[in-house]
Amino acid sequence: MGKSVESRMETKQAFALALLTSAIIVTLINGPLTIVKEMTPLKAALRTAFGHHWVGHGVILFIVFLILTIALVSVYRGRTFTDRLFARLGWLCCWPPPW
Amino acid sequence: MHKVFSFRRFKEHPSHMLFPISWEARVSREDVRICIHLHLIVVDVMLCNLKYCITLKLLEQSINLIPHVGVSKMSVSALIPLHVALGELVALSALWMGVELLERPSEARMKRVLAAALILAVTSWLSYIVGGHYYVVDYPSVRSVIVEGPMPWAHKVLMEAKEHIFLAGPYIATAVTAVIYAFRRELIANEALRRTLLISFAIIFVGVALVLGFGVGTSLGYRAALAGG
Repeated sequence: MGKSVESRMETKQAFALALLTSAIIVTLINGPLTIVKEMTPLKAALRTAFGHHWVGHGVILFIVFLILTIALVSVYRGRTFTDRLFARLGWLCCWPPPW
Repeated sequence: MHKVFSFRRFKEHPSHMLFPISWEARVSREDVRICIHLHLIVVDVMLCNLKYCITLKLLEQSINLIPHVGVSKMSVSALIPLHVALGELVALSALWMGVELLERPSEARMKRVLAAALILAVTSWLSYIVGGHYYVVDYPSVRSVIVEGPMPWAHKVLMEAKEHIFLAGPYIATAVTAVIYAFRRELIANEALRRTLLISFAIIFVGVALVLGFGVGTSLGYRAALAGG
């Protein structure tokens, strides 16, 4: 068994975990956004704005991903990194709906 | 600065032709074996892809020769094989990373994992853009043919699920690549991290394989509609 990793995160590590957390949140938003689109006039609005509702859907997810990443870098920077946190994020990354 | 590829090293170590990167450590027999298997898979999937495109093209041409079918100017976009090939590379990269991390990685192994991770991220975004463009521009005419054919569920179930799952893929691939780059030293030292990533790659591979399967199902629906029209 290797040694446990507990150290203060560098900027690039904070950035990587921010990307990972943003990817999890974006994936979790992806499903409900599809349902909301079907049940509200959002689908028509996205079609009008972007030409196709899936293009608008992709743009929304991309913007959310960018904003969350930028916001979370400052949250993670300087925090203590534990392999437990990493393991939790890793598992969450792979178990969003509908997988 | 570390050189990604050099012809001098390539001449000294012919096994470097198996990977487009050079590494400091000696190449073990196991590394070469894994490499050859991966390359055989690449050749195999590319041949399958070629066969798939030729079949679809021939079928499309034969249908266009029959006037009573009423399906004219049907075209198979060149973006489909590109999208499929990129998707196959995504699956292959995940598989490659998984194989590399089966045991505790060395520095050299981590370089290859990072190279595979970069391929994963780039190909997943390219596949996303190419597939998205095809879906918006060319797919509507294909969709109407599938829905009127004998396998309407190929669009209503498979493609509907595929287009939803597909949107999350590049984000996860980007995040995994960033994590491997930022935590590559920790990954060598820490067994728990390596296992977490190993399971993640296995799940990514299964997810991509699932999406590829849905794509094949949609294509079968189109073929069935053309043949049965």
